[in-house]
Amino acid sequence: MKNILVAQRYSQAIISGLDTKEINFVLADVEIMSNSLKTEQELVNAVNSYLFPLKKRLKIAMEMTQNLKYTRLWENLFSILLKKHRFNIITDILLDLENEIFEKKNLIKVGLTIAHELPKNVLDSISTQLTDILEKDIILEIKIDPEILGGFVATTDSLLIDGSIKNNLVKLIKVKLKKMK
Amino acid sequence: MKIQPDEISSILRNKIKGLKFDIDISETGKVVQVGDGIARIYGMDNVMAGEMIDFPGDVMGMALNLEEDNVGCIIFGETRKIKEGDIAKRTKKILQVPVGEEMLGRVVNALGEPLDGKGQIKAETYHPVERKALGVVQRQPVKEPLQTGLKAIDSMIPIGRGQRELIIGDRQTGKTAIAIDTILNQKDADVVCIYVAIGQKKSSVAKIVNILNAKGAMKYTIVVVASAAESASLQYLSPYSGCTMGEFFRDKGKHALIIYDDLSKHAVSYRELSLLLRRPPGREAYPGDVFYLHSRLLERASKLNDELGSGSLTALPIIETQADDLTAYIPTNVISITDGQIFLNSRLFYSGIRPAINAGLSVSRVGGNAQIKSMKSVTGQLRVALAQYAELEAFAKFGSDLDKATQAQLTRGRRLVEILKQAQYSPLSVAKQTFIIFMANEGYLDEIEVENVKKVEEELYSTLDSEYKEFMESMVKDKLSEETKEAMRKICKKVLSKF
Ligand SMILES: Nc1ncnc2c1ncn2[C@@H]1O[C@H](COP(=O)(O)OP(=O)(O)OP(=O)(O)O)[C@@H](O)[C@H]1O
Ligand SMILES: [Mg+2]
Repeated sequence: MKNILVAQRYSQAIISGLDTKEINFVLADVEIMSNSLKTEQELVNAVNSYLFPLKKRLKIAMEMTQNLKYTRLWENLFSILLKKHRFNIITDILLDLENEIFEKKNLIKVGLTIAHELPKNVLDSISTQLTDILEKDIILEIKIDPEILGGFVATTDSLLIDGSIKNNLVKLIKVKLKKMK
Repeated sequence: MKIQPDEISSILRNKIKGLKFDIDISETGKVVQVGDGIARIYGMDNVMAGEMIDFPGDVMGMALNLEEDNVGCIIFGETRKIKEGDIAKRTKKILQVPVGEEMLGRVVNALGEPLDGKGQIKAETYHPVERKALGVVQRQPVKEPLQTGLKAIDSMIPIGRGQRELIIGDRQTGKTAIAIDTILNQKDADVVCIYVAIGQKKSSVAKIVNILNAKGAMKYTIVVVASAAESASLQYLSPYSGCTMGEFFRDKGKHALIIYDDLSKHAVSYRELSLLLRRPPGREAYPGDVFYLHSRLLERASKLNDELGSGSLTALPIIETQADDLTAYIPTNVISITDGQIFLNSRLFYSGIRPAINAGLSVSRVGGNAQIKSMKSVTGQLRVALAQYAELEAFAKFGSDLDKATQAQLTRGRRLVEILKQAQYSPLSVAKQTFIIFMANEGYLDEIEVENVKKVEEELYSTLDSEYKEFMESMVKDKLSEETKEAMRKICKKVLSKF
């Protein structure tokens, strides 16, 4: 809980110093980094660990920033985090940065779960429906899960839009059970 | 009849064809912390206080703490089924429990789910557990008596329907016994009873349910149980659930009685939740709003005005004290909220005076208006005589040279104490109560040895039962007239002639 709040403070500090053009570049950096750190929780832990000398950890952290656009910014952020022993919240910071930037651009990331691969025109129609509901441009992250049987489930940070067959059947069964009582 | 698989599938297919699929949109939050019956949710900005929260795995929760950046929830179910990162859904509904006639005779938990293995409860109506207490205009002063069937209470600490009377005392002083006897006495009174057991051992609750069953009291009673084995959140919720079930009858113009056994344990469960939710602790580590916890519950007991059907909900909360300390935090709070208290004393209990009511420290602030007139005619004298006896008794221990008048007062006092004793599960009608007190007041028992007073009492009751049924019915209709008193004196003499 606390981590999320601290991460929010960091990300807000970063964003407040950027103009619209810079924001797009930072977003690109954020995406690269979150993709590479997603599977590297152990690396993050190691970099944040007192078991290794600070100098070495700083060196590794600096190397992580080399391929990025705003190397200076990331270098500063990483060294502050390391010295404060807060490097473990880097993923939270990246997540929040992404959300904040999306917010600014009136975009929203939507996790879309479907039961099986769908043709493009069906996906597009779901997409338009979601855009209508959310009143934002959406970026879809598609996941396949046969358990929902059909239809779709869309999730954002604060909403769950459930149009799956599974949910409809569950509701139907519940109503039937109540009637049987 | 045998159904072929293809038949089933064709039936299903037809059913599904007619189905309208819809899309549910719900606001969600992410579980960021879970444990000890508490979850913290990040997000869910618009949630209401007291709203039901839907967790994965059909677990229910209730939003209690709305903080700037997270929502603190209590969980009514298995905490183990929820993990960090889970998505919790808003329901936009305040927690509700089933109410209605269907609940009578059932043993349920704080959510109104059956615990007695008698199958589903077919309740059609659900009401929110937290409801605002009625305003001043909707109420009226208590005016009908709620008979407990206990001589010591009905005579000296009368309770009116719609009143809140606290039963307070140390452990094992007969608090629960008074509550149960009161339920048993409602058999012919058309009062629905609700017994809420909070934080008690399951075995004690089972014993109580058995007694209620055996005495035929279950058919007008609902038992709400949140035993010691249940989570603090269910214990916290249970009195509010019970109260909602009682309010249903009150609002229908009927009379209901609710017993909270006991609110000390309720306060403890709330303290546990509050500390886990990291609310700042105050005196005795209770949170600042522990007064409101009980005041809003007890304020819901009320007597409705005539336009609303003049129903009533009487509350008998129970508080356990430590070493007779009435000045501890929770006891003083609840004493100040209620309309009086019945104070049970362990010293009296162990000296054989049961129910162990300390008449000096017990009061009923409003019930006097509701007391039956015939009873009122005899209680004034009873109170004075008992008070004098209490003073003299201490004095008499030092000297033996007492004048005649003092000795007479002592003799009378001892017999009064004796007739106020009453065994468990034997509630008495008002007529019998009035009669025995009248008999003692008039001095008919002064000649009888203290050990034999009980025998005379029993003889009196059996005589009344067998020969004076009609007389008893008429004597409680109004205050005792000289004529009635004369008739009563005759019966007294007749009973005494056998000794
Ligand atoms: N009027 C009575 N006559 C004889 N025995 C009684 C009477 N009232 C209570 N008792 C006995 O005293 C014991 C304690 O009674 P009870 O359980 O009602 O007390 P309590 O104050 O509710 O106790 P606890 O603190 O455990 O809840 C029981 O065994 C009960 O049978
Ligand atoms: Mg008890």
